[in-house]
Amino acid sequence: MKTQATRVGSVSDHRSTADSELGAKVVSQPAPSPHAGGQPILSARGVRKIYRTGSHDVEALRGVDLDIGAGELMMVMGPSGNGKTTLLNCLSGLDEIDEGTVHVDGEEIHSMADAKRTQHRAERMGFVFQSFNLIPVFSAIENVEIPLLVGGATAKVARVKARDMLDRVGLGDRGGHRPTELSGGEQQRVAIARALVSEPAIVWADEPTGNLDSHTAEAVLELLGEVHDAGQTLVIVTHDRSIGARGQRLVQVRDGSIAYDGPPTILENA
Amino acid sequence: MVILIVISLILLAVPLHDLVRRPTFRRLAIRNVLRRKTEAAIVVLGAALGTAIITAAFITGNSFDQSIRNIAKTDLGPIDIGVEIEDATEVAQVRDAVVGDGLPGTDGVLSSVSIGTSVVHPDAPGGQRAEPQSRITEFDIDEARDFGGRPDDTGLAGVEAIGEGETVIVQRLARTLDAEVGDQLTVFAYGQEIPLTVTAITPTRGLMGSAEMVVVPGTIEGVLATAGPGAADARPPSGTVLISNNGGIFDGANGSDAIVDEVVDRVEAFDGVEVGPWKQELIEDAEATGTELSTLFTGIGSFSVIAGILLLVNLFVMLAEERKTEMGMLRAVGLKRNHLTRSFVLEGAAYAALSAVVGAIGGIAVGWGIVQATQSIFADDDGVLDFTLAIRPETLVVGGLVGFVIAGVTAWLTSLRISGLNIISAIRDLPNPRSASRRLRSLVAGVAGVALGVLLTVIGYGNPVAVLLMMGPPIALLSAITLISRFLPRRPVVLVLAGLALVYGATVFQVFPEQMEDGDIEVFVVMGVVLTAAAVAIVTALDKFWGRMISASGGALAPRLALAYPLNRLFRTGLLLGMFSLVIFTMTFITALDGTFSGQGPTFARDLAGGYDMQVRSNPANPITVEDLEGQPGVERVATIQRGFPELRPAGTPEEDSEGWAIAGINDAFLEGGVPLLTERDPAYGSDVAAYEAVLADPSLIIVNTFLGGDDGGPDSGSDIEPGDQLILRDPVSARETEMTVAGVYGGDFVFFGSFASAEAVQTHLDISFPSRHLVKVADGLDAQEVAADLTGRFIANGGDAETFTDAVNEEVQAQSGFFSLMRGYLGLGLLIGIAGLAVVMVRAVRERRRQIGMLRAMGVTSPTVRGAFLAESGFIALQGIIIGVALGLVTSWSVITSSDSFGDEELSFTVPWLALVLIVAIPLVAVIASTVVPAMRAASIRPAAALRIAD
Repeated sequence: MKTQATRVGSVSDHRSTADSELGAKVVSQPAPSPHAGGQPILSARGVRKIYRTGSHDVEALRGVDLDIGAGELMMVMGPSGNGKTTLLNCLSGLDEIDEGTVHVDGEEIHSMADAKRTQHRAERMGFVFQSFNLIPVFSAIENVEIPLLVGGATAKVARVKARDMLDRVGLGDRGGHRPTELSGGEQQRVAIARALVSEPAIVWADEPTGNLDSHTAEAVLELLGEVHDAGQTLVIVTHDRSIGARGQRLVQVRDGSIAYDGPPTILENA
Repeated sequence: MVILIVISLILLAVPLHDLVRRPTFRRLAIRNVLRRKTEAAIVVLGAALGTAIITAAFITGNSFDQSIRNIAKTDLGPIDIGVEIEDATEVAQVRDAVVGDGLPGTDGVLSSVSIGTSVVHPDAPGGQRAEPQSRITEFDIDEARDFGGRPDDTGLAGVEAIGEGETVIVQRLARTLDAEVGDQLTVFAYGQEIPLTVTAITPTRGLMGSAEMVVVPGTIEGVLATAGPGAADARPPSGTVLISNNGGIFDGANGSDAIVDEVVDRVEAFDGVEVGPWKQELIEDAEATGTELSTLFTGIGSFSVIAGILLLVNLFVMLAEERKTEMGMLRAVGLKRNHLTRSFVLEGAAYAALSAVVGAIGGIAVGWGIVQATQSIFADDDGVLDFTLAIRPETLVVGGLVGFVIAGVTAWLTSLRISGLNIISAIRDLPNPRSASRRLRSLVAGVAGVALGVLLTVIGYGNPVAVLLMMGPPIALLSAITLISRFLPRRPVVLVLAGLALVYGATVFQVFPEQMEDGDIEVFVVMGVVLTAAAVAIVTALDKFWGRMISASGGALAPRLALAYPLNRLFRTGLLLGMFSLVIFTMTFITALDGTFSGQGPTFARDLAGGYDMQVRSNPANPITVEDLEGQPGVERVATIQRGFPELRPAGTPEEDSEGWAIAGINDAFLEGGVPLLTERDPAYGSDVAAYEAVLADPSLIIVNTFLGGDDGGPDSGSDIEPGDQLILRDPVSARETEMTVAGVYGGDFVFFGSFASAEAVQTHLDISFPSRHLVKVADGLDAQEVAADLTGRFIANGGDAETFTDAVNEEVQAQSGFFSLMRGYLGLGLLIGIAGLAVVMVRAVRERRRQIGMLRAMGVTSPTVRGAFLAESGFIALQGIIIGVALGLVTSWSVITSSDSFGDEELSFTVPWLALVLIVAIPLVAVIASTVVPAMRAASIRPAAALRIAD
């Protein structure tokens, strides 16, 4: 297995000005534990992703190796355009990869047919995005029900579970409202409830507070913290250092490679 | 056309100005058009279909007009005025009187004598060939060739003079007889066989159009001189003096009135002479028929045009929603509201202009299709009435302009509506908040709508004007929704008021029978719009109900998604439903009428036939006698009819209101075994038979057909003719007038009996005594059709033509059914708009929901579920529209057929055409789902990561 340090060294000449100071410090860090949170439930090896855009190809991920442990709260950071979201998409099975393997609970998800991978996502993955991505023609509770219905739950069971989950995120009384009738923070809570309702193995959150004011963002982060405290594996992509510092583990992505993988304490020193 | 050009220029003024002077608007509009080229092309095609339909309606009118006008060439040529002379022996005297010292304004006078005959070509290559209903005409060919000064117009150019025993025949007859120059034909007249040798065959044109066989003058006189005693019962020869006005075939007819007046004066001394401006009447008929058909097709086509407008509005609203955020940004950076409107209008004007050109050209193809279909349904077997495509350049311009104005106005109104966005809401992609000004606008619109509806109702009821009365109350009711829902919950208000509008629309013919009596095609169009608008309002107001249905249906996600979008975009869904249901409503209505009429064939035949199975016509100059028929195998009973063609008008109306209407003189034998069913009779008679017996006993009594008094060719008294009414019967030859009293009214006249009076009355009033038709009752157990075929074959020499009532009725019913099919085909274009429109809407929906589809896929929703949701969504909308249309179509047609006398007084039993209805439901539904397959597949293939476009 290639070490993280080797990779960090290989991309150190391409640091952006914003992160150059942090990058310089990363190089000096020892290789961190690959799965600080326990046994890995996701194990990625040599993951490459190339975007083919007409005349030239862009290598978005360059042979990434990464393990995610059960119950981990992992923060993914890095400069814009360096592959954070691509990493999330490829590891979660949202996107295809060009090389490598991603095992979730021992199953290689990229060798699965699309239908099976879709079913796998339904059962094992939850997603929270910056722009909420609620279905506007469904009410809050109907949005939360979707993963349960996809997983084959009956309408009655789905309704009960969705209501419970909305209660847990503090929106028990807003279930009948459409997304346009909710504030940004409420919409994101609904999105979190939707991501959690089917009890997935991993919840992937891509800039979950990017569209929120600081007060609302704090409330959402607290909620995610509670979710993690309850044992949920959580991967959060963020560009906000203060959010990154809340994790147990920080992964820095730079030019499609893992530049740092270790405790987020380095952010405090930056 | 001037008005259309002015409106078009007004619509174009701002876009043209902006195109030249406002580079930002120009750039925005052009780049938005080019942004999605395929969809822009579909928008243009959608609008172009409407233009094509309108243009095709006009072209259809042109073609009918021109086709009928062509008869002026084929049947009349140089003949402008005809002087019919009852006594053929007076022809020469009448001609001399007409010519006098010269007839100003004319360039030719020709006299002729003719008789009806049957003709046989015994040595035809494939065996004997016959034409039972022909005629021979005698005139001098050399003189006729110069008639009017244009030999080509006479059809006799290059034809040599003929001698005794020779004939010149027209191509049409030559084809029937398979005859060539030199062949020997046998003509039957007055009980004699006349051998004639064909010396020339001419095109069916001019004088030769009406004179099928020309013989040398004196031939008919010679035949009569040697005729047997039976000739006394035959119709005598008739004479005609033909007059050609100065000028060409068409423009020459213009001066006919003055010449007719002059000729009438000159022949005043003769009895039994009738002068008529034949060509002028023909051209007027052509124009009237062309206009009537153009109006009919425009009216029927307007359903499709309205569907096209709804599609355009829908597409514009979708465009606006897709660009909502960028429009908000444009407003934020300083574009004024009217700038936004103008940039949209510029884009809309480009679509409208392109669609006008494409539609006008497409209209030619549609028009051609209609003409071809009509030709196959109605074309005369003899080829006399040959429908051909005729396109006047101004028709294309008008069609294009109408299409442009419709699309342009739609673009303007939609642009005004969508530019009223709230900047913040638009940028944040939130629904537009209801502002005070919007509330005020809706209040003003509601009050104005109610006031307008009430005004139209009052005017429509008082005057009465059917179309105003049809639209007034629904406008008031639907407008009141915005007013009352300010104080009460909207949903029940919509259900109640739209429900009332629906009930009104469906029952207006029963509620206001007198006021609605004169309603024309536009009433039907308004009725369709009213009913569908009300029904769509009701269905969209039931969104909660559908929501509950979804929940109750279980957990399946595809149907939930399929219904959620349409139910959350009620305006857009309403437009789609309206588009579909309007066209399906009309198709169902026409199909139900077709089914009802087609199903009544045997009933119509039974009601008309009385105690007989068939009618037998023969050559008037060599008629079949009662005795001839009674001796034939299979014939049980024979009744004879003397048929005349008087003019009729209600007593008390001016002479010019008189219209020609056939009359059948009946005798005692007619009543044996039954009589044609009466729909109404004078209460003085206890039964239908009693009414007919009274007619036989009293020459002043008449039984009329239900169409007399309507708009179908008979004298129009403004209301139906009823028992007890007085009619004036005028003999056009003698100008003698007789007052008749209506004893009863009978229904469908499929064999053109006309009116019934006693044979004595027909002889007394019209001086007609020779038999025109015989009615035959076939012996029990025999097949009437076989006997008819046998009789036709046996009486070839007499021009025998036997036809059962069942066949006659079926022929008419099939022609009617064919016309209904043509209408359905024409409406199919509207359905095409609906299907294509829904497909376009689904294509745009895929783009609009790309992120949402990505999210669903991320959450584990499978591709088949996404695909199924899209297919189910389009199917749901189409099915709703189809159900609304079919239900309204059936209810309305049932109401009209069972409660209105719009289709005559007959008791029609409403027949549901199940098979046709299944097709009406299945074909559009399958077509819609098929057309959604591509967008559904596209939606299903969306990759979640790409769709979510999560920025790093």
